[in-house]
Amino acid sequence: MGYALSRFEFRGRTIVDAIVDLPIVFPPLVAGLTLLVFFSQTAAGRWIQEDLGLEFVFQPKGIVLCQFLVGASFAIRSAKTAFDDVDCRYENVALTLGCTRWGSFRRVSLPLARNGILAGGILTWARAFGLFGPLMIFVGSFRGRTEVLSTTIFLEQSVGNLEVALAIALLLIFVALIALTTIRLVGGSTLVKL
Amino acid sequence: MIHTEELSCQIGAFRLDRVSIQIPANKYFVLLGPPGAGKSIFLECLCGLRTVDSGRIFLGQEDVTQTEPRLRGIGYVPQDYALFSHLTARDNVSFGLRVRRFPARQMTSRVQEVAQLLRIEHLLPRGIAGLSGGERQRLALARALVLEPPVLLLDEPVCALDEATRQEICAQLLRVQRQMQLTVVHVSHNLEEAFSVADHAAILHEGRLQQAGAMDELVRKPNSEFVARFVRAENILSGRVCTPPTEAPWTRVELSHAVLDVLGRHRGDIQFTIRPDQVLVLREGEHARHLQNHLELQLARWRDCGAYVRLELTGSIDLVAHITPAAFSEIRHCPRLTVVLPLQSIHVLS
Repeated sequence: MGYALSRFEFRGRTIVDAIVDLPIVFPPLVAGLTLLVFFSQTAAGRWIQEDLGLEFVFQPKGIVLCQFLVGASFAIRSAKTAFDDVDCRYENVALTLGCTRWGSFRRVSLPLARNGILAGGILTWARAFGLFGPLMIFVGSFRGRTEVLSTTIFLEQSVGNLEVALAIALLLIFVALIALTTIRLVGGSTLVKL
Repeated sequence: MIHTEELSCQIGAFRLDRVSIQIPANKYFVLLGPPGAGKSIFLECLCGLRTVDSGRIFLGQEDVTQTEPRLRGIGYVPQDYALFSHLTARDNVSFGLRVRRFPARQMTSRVQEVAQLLRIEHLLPRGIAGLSGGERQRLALARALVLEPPVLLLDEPVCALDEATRQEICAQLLRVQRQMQLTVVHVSHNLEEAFSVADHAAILHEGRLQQAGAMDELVRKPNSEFVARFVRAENILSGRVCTPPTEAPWTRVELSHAVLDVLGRHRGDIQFTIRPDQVLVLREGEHARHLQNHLELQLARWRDCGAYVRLELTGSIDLVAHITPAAFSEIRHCPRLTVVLPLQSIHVLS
């Protein structure tokens, strides 16, 4: 989708572009609330959960879905920025050298945008790693079931177990530092544009 | 031969408008025009990177208007060379061969051949980052030539290079074209560049073809004021025919303060041109009074341009003349000069 937004002009492109950016702009809690309402209050959501048997609300699968939806915006945006940095002329030359459209994407655009995409991927992962609000609303925080590091901090702190909460917080800070350093090493320019 | 028929392509507010050109096979063709004339767009249409709105493109007898770029058999070098920075120089050159799944041995020998032809063997193991402009240019050329295309399109191939490298690359391009018997279409806005390589040329302006033909024909016989100015005719004069048609092979034309004869029969207002190097400049009165089209002018300014001296002459009309330094040394102190515009050197703009 990042490549399509970068390269192609199509009807409704502006709207699609705006929708992709929505989760970046609105408060994270809204994402969780939207998912909760969708799966518990709408016919489509109930059909997915009950008829297809894909249960997300207060289930481990919900963690993945929630992190994917919030992270997807960052991933698409960073991929678009990375492809924007690759001039169309590279693809054009590849086309004259015998590539198909897919071949020019695979052999030229993707490798040239690789660092930007990688940096965006790390940033997306880091964002999903620290997600808290939407998860609390959509999947809750059940010990050993829908617990992630960020919600564990909340659980430990709420029962007065401050040492464990602090240890996990330090771990999160450490992971974030590694992620940000790696981003700068592999694709700093993309991060700056983000 | 490449042949376009009424080729049109709209991009935003710009329109390439019904361009019909015949590009002779195995010749070096230069497409000239000021920036924004549509030269690069025309080139992209030729290699299939832009969809044309109307018109047709023929390569030889084959209509390739709807053919994919990869199936047209055209080599293309864009303006900034577009070398793939994630590959080594060798992998850049062999890119087209790998895409077309050439056997490894054949691939190696073809890369070596084209590298020898362009004298870039020493560059092959290197990355792209440290290469100079001239080296990048040669590498991009090698990448396009390795597939041995019968047609090579070059979009401003030397515009970003210094003068010495530009001359060297132009000489190399011409050598390669002759050696491989390629049909080359070279886009440029630089007239000197065109002079150094072109067999044939065409001039585009605001998306329209102004004139096409042999390079010499464009320079000696421009068909419009725009082409005349573009090929630096410099002396573009306007006047009105002042004699009724006679048996004489020339027509007398009245300018604001002078009368001149031009070859052929004309009526009404006409525009004509004479190239600065065709203007004869003599000391006043020097055995020229009996010649047709002689004028008494004064030297207003001059500039030494190395191989010639550029004179700006003023009087009944303003003219520019180019003469040799030796000729200039003889006339530089003359207060008045006799200037002759040879009848056969005057070209009437159609």
